Amino acid sequence: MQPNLSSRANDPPGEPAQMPDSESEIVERARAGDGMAFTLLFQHYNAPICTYIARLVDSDEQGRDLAQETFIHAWKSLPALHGELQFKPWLYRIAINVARSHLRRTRLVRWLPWTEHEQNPLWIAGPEEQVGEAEHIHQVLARLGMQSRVCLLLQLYAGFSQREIATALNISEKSVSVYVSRGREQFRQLYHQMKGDIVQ
Amino acid sequence: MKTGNTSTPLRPCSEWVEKLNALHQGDLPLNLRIELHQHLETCSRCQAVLAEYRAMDVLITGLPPVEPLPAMPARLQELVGVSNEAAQAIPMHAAQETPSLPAAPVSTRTSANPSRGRLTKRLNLVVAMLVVAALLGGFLVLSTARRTGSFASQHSTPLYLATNGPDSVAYAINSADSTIIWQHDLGHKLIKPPLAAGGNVYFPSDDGNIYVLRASDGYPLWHARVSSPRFPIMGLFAYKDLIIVGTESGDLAALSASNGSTSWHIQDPCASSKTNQSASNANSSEPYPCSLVPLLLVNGVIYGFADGLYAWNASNGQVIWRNAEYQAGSLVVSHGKVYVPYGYIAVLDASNGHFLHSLGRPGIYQLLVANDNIIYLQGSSGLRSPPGQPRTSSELFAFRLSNDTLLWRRTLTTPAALLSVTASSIYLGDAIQANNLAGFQVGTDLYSLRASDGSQQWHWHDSADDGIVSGLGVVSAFEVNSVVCFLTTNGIYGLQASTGKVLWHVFQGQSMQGPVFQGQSIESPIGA
Repeated sequence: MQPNLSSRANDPPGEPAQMPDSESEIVERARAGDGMAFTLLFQHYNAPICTYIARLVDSDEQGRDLAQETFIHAWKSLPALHGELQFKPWLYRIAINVARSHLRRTRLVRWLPWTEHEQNPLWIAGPEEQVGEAEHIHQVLARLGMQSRVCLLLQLYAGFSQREIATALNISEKSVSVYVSRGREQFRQLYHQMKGDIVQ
Repeated sequence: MKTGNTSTPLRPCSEWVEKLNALHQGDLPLNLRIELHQHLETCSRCQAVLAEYRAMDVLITGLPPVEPLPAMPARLQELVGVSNEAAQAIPMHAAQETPSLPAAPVSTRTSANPSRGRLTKRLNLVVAMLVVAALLGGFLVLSTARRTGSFASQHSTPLYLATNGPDSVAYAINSADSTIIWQHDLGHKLIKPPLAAGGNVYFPSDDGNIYVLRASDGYPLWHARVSSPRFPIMGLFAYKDLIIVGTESGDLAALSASNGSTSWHIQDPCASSKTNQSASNANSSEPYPCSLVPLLLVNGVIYGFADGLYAWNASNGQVIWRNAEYQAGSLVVSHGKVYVPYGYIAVLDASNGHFLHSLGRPGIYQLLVANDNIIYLQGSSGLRSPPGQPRTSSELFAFRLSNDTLLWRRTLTTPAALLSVTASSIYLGDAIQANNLAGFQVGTDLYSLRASDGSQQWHWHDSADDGIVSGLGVVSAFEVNSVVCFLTTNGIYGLQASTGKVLWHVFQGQSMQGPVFQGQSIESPIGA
């Protein structure tokens, strides 16, 4: 197989590029130290991993940096793996661990421009006046519990079933079900709370 | 929230809420899918909630796309190529058998992007250094009992740390010169830094056990299983003669520090989920899981999140108060007040959890308390600076704890994150990778600022980018006996606190957990 190293500029962000051969063959070659095969895997998963991590850590820039770390970890860990490998959940597991380490280390969070300390800032003259909808969604996502965020985003961005999420995280499907439902419910409630919506 | 016109959104039927979130065909068996369909035909609440869920999904997936890496980063390209060369130069089995011991202290590196040939040479050099270090390390361990007093500085403090990996090795080293006091093979993978308290060192492992070594000589004392591997330890504290453990499974337990026996144990602290379930799903035999994230232990009170912000009595595990408004985040407790980032900084009464007032405008904050007088907050917004505007990465604020008024504020032009504070200094650190698009200088940085006014005292920079998983950067930093110790993914450094001069650098190229020292974490969580 000739590796397809062409630019993937036409691929939509967040969508995997097409793999020319079966993924398992390419993974096996990469595991054996074939750098070109790993390049193919990188091209295939570059966009979805960047997107996933960026959503997890709430920063596109950090998402790209941590995606690089993810691929480095993957390359270094591949030779030591034995037995059948499900590459995609394994790669996402690395991505999650890298993102978790990053968040744990820096507690990197975003904030809005600070004016001055206010005497009576009990709340919030409508955050929607200061931030757009996308920023609002980012803020709500950032406030979800980490495990719920991990699971919900795996479902929505990586397209994983609950069983695949369970495999990636090495937890039970029941736990995944709880985390996903908790995350989506929490997102809904926080979204309304932060927007000050009235929901009857 | 404190808006006056917000009411609670509709809640779905609790027994159906998980099934409403099963997106994929395989997530639900056919019979349950049919039951769900039948339920939705008769339940307008669940219909409405499901419609909202789908609308929320569209909102999330409809966020502006993230641009991927423009190409395989040079560092990764080099690594992929180098790995093949290294495999020829150094047989894999030989590399695996090389003992993993700390390298001798080295000076700050300056190479930015070594070529493949240079990297191959460096690999050979590293192997040689590891052999020498193994011999040196073994010699130091063998001679520790006789020589500790002679090589340790008069002002040295033992630091406790461990290697990452499936078979972690625990070490105690001197803070003044990094010499090894003892080492012990734990034989398990650590999931968090150790806790040093009461003459012992506690190592939380991924097998759900805590392994306890005597701080003076590394002698193994006891181990106790406190969790399952599936639900890791989330917090570990020392309080009087108790070790308090919180796990992701929702368990909060106190063990005797002397032998690991259980003093008290609370399962599933989620009050609201129990109440909701008993009210709406009384026939269900399956309890609703509850994650527990203990964050702080202050004045005999454990503060943390489950289904709300809790305060538990550390002596018996009883709930002192719960505030359901706050579900997750970080915490600072001082001056009888609890500070919680929650779209703003909410200030609560530490005695009852009641809301007192807030600080600042909407945002999400990182915060850290320095001492009895000042609380420090940091936020990042610089990467979104509009084109043409001065680049600001974050702002740092200091508030007087006594009256919550602003003492000073500074704008930082690097993405350094707040790490730790002493009475006189604030430490911030970062790691910038070669592919950063914001144009920051590549390398690892540590900054020392004056706690009184935020002015910079010194700045340490390591420009190395050698492909050893840099970018994870400075993980933690603290000051002990006038030495700033900080952990990076390239080992552990000791810097002179007054000048920033490098005193030692050990475990080069290794990923570590720790270091910690006795007394540092008595009322602080690990890994928080």
